[in-house]
Amino acid sequence: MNEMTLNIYSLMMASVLVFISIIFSYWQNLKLEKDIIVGTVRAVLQLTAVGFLLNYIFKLDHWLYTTLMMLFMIYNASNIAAKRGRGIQKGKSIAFVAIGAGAATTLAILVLVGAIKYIPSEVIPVSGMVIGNAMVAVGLCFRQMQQLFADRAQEVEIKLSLGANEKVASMGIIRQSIRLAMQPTVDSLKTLGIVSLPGMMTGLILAGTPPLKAIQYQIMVTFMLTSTVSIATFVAGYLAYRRFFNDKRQLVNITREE
Amino acid sequence: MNSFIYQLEGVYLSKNGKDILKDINLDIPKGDRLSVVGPSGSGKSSLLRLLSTLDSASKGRVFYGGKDIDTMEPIDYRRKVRYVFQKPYLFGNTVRDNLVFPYNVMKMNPDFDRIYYLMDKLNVPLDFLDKDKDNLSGGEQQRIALIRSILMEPEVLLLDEVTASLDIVNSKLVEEYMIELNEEKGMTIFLVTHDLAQARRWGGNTIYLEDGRLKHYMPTDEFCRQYGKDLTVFGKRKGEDGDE
Ligand SMILES: Nc1ncnc2c1ncn2[C@@H]1O[C@H](COP(=O)(O)OP(=O)(O)OP(=O)(O)O)[C@@H](O)[C@H]1O
Ligand SMILES: [Mg+2]
Repeated sequence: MNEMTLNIYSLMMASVLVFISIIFSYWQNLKLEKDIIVGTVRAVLQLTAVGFLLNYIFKLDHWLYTTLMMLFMIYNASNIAAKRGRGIQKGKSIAFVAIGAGAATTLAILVLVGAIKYIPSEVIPVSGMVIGNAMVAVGLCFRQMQQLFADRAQEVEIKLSLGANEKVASMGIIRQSIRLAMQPTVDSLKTLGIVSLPGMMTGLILAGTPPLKAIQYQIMVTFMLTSTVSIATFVAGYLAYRRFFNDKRQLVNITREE
Repeated sequence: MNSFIYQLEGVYLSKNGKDILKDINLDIPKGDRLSVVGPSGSGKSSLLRLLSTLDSASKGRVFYGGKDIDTMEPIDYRRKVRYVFQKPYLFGNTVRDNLVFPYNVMKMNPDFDRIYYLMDKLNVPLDFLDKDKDNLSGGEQQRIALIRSILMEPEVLLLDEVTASLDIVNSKLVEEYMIELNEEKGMTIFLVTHDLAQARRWGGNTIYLEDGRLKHYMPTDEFCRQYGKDLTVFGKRKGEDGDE
């Protein structure tokens, strides 16, 4: 890690890169200048704050603070995922349970097989990746479900009127939502290394880890992302479909109620 | 026991803040055969949706056999009362997927004798069973949707313009079998129609809706005699006459 050339000075110079996009936005009249400036400032502030926080938690090196940090990350992730399914009641709680279940299972396996240790410097970066991916997948799952329940309302109602319960009537939609939410993760499995050098591997290589070692990490990361995403979308799908029905087993039109 | 299968008391149905059904009061005897008529948008489909418990009254009460419909387990109720949608819609891939579904939800083995019997009865070729649903005509889809709803011999059948895309031969075939179910099995059947001649053939009683209100409830022949000349009561579009 000591061979890194990056320092504060070169980082500031690299901020020139942001100006390129601002100039581009202005020139093309994209009206993104404000968003880019605000986004950049936020990103720097957030990352700096997180840097200090992580520094502190790493020093404390206590399982309780490590776990609290993870819960905090899951909480934030579920708020963002729930925004994709605005109108799904209790979307935040569902996302929290789904992302939590995915992350907890995967981390537990990794710790049990000895791939990582339950210490902040290992668990927190790994959970960050896992939670981030689960967040995107759960958000996709929510959005798919809303779309499909709107598009296929008649099919659901016909099945209800043929005596099906809510789950049977929604089965096709639940499965398709889970499948579509997992698709990007599955697709990225196929292109890994060919098209993209994933972020973690890139980071390790830049920080001086030999590529063969970095690849080992990346393979582990790939496994854990796949499992987390499948668990999280599965839990999200099977919890969220109920929100499209009322207690009289009727389909409620949540897209219109917004 | 109660001789009325349905009793509606001051029923309102509102959707998105708009009253679609207004103050409906109606007593319907068990085993009645009903035609539901009225201009387009008068609330015929909405009334059927309400009776099928896909929607609930926003005000007033609906009783089924003397029991408040809101207190009944919807799944049990829907097994007795079947609703055939105005727009036919088949799910899954094949006709078979649709016809075994009512058995599957009850965890029963499909009764293919009965499936074939009804296909034959409603003029659907038996080898259609494994046909792709997308390769069926509108009228074929409509008859399969109808079979799907009567496989379990419900107590009540709610038919929403189910003969709309059928030719006169098939339309009469369907009507005749529905009348047979009504007369022989005592099934209470509601038939939404825009067709005066069909209402005449159907007989029974007529429910006439206008702008979400129940305007008339009387024997069909009397209704046709009094109001049959006025084509707007059947919601006829121009140039679309009865066939006599
Ligand atoms: N979900 C809904 N939200 C708002 N209005 C609705 C909704 N569903 C139906 N309506 C309105 O309720 C009224 C009654 O509709 P309904 O479908 O019951 O009419 P109908 O008598 O069956 O007409 P048609 O003969 O054309 O089938 C119509 O004005 C319709 O626009
Ligand atoms: Mg209608």
